[in-house]
Amino acid sequence: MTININLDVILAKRKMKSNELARLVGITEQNLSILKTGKARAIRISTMDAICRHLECQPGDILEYIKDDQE
Amino acid sequence: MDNLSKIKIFSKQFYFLLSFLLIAIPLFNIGFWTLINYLPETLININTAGNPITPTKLTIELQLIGFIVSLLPLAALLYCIINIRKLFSFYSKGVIFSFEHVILFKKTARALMLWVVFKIVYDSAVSVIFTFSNPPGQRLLKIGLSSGEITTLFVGGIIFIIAWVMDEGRILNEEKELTV
Repeated sequence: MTININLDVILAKRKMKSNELARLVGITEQNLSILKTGKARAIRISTMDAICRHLECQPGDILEYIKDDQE
Repeated sequence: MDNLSKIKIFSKQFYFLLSFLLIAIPLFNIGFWTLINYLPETLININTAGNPITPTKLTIELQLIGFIVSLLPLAALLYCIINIRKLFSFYSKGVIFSFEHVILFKKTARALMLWVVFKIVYDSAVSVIFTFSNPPGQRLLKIGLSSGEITTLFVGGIIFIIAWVMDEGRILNEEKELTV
């Protein structure tokens, strides 16, 4: 996987729990877990918008592109 | 009522109907070959391809051979019903797209095509069995493909295509499930 999901890091920085973020964003904890574990195939703009709004961050803080040879 | 609720309700009913058929069809087959000498001719003619010149009762050996050969299309038919029943079992639980569905559709299509082959063998065997008491030279071996078999082959082909469509549906469903 070349896209890293740094949601755990941002959550820790904001001292917010996953279930709280899921509730605020309006998605299930299971879906948030899919996102955190990197199993998600796609992320809706509306979901990203809600996550960024509640975590006060930019999409680039959550999604990070890593070259295959750097993995 | 939404579509999924309708699917669940009707699938449950179809599941019970198919469960009944799973018991009734083998019982009918056993009854048919056991009581063949006592059944009205009209009922027998529906299922046979050849008629004796002089109506005679089948010997127990011929009855047994007929029954054994009838197990071929019966097995294919029951296998087909088992697969469709499993499919409706999934539908009644609200599971519409999964890899199992694709496999079940393919198995059903194969079972239908196998049934056609076995039905031809069975009808041919029955034509021999029913004319076995005729004098030499008057016995009959009929091999043929009726409209029923052609229709079944056609349906089997359609189900195969549906299986591929279902596979595409499964991929789309997986995409949807993994979209956050």
